[in-house]
Amino acid sequence: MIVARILREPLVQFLLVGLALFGAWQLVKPVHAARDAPYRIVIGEDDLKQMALAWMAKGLPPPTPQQMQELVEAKVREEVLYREALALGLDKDDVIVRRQLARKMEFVTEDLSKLDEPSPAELRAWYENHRERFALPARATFRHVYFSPDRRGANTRADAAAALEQLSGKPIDVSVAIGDRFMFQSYYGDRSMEVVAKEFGPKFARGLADLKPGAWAGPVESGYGWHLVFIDAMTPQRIPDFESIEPEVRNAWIEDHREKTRAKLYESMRARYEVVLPGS
Amino acid sequence: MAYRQENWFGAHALTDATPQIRMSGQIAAGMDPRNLYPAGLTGVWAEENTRASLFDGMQRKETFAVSGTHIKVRLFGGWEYTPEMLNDPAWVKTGYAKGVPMGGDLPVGKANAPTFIVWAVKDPTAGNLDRIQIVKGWSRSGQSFEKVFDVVWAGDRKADKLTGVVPPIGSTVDVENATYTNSIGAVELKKVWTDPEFDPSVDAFYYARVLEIPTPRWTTIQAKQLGIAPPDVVPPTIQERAWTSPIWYTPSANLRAAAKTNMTVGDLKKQGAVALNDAQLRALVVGKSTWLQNNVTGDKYQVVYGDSGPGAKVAPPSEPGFNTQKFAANQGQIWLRFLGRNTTLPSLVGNPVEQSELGITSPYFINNGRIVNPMSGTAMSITVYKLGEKYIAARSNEFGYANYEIIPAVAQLNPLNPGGGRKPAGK
Repeated sequence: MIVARILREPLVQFLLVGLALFGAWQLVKPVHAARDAPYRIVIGEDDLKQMALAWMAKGLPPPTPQQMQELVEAKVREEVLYREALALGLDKDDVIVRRQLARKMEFVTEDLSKLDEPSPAELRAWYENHRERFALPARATFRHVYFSPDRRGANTRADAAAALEQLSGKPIDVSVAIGDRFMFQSYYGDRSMEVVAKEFGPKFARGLADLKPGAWAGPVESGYGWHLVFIDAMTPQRIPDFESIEPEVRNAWIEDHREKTRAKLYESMRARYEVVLPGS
Repeated sequence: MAYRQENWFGAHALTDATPQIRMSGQIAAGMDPRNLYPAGLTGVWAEENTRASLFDGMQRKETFAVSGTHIKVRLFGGWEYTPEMLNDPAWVKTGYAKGVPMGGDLPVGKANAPTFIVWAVKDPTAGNLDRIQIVKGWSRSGQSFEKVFDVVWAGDRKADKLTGVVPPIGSTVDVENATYTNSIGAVELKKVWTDPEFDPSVDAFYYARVLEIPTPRWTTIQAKQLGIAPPDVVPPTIQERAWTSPIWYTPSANLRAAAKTNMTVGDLKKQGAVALNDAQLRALVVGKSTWLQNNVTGDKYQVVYGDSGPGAKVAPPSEPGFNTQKFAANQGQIWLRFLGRNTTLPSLVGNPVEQSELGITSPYFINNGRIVNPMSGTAMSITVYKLGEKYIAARSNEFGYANYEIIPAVAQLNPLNPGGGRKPAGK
């Protein structure tokens, strides 16, 4: 049990993986070309296959011998410049090299955190604590009559209010002859409040939330002018059951867990260092 | 990425990370963060919000761009649209059926001039619309031209009788509080517009531009947040805008052949014109004030090429060489006179303010039968041909057309000589 818990510690996992990699490397390590023969560039069968694969991965036909030659030359060029740069010590104190290495280190730690899987009970408990993350916005099905400030100027709101008298109690289809032509739709089926806010402006979405379904109401102001609105149906904001969104919860858990692991690993590495600032 | 004036938070890490740094006036590697601007957005007209449909929309170029706010704009071009079309709620269907959407090529002509439907609706969370413009571009004898037409606008403003330009809409911006009201401008603008200057023999493109009423620039908003005065290096307000992909007009081969164009270098050579060599070029222009006419626009220029190196003799103010002798070696200057309406196009004459009114010179040299000098930052070479007694010049960026002709000095107003014309010295 204790062994299992120790094994689940990210730092222990990290050290074990590191040790395994190091051991494996010692076994398969080729003669280090750049150090032992600084002016000899060896390109093996596997390297050539790798180049051809990378070439075809771009959706190109297999390289011709001449293209292969060019690929080899490009590889050689990179290797030559790389070795010359190393010989000149250009890797030292280079902000981009440092950043790249630091990022690689972060990737390694991130890969480690993927090894974990939540148990169903763990996942459900986590969902209960983070329910609000999964809330679905309210949705509305509505029709509306538009009153255009381009046509009516300062009277727009008053015109809309007056038209409401005519509309109340009438069947919903008479609305066609009242109001002005709207640029988009007159009927919106099952739209989330986010979408409504995007199409009409947030003020209109807030106004809609206050209306009772089943009757003409308003006027409600939007970014385009004033509207009389008939809400057919309104689904309030709700949080779905755990069962219906288990995969989403799982993804969110993994994301959350990865973030925590990364922070924990960094903390454990950071703890080994002493930082000296001026005056300390 | 920030694309609204209200949420601009910088784009260059520590050089513009906080409102204090952005607004401090500190220049980072030549960049004043106050000059920066939130990014824009691209819009696509598509049948449905799916990958395939959006991709098709992009392929047929039925796309537009906005400076940040979600203005919606459509442009259609065709030969059979009528002004009544817009009364029909299904006008978009007619737009597709009888023409092409933006990004398309106009079909073969069926009328004297193409007609365009342009329509725009404001962003419900932003400023009202000021106007829609149609920008037309065309080329003639290798020279490119552009003209902006105000086609529909909010309120009852009248277009200027002579220029056609609609006066500014005014501003509701309260700079101190960084606010505005939508008490001016329109929610929706639409218009069926016919090109009043259409020439069927000339290639052209048309695109629409929608302007919002003035609203506070992000610098004004953040100055208010910081409790400081808005910066004076940028305007306190901006007009957000949207612009469409163009619709293209290509004349048929017959129509294009009928176009009135200037001679090309090939035509000149066929008629026996001879290109000047370096020595002849020097003798023709160096140390002289040469008058040129752009034979496409009719604009007249005076070009002054300074004498090269020492030895240029000192001349009194009455002599033509008086101005050029003050130039350093190989410095030339273009003076523009009698500017036509298109002179502000940099493609035609460079920068008239810099080169003419401020008198800033630019280097030139003569080599391999070419006069080479920069125009609007690009090296341009000029070859000159002698045809009979005429000198005709071709510029390297005008696709082989020879559009410039040396003309006799144009009479200028001279207070000392009311009879007109420059009096040669000593007469």
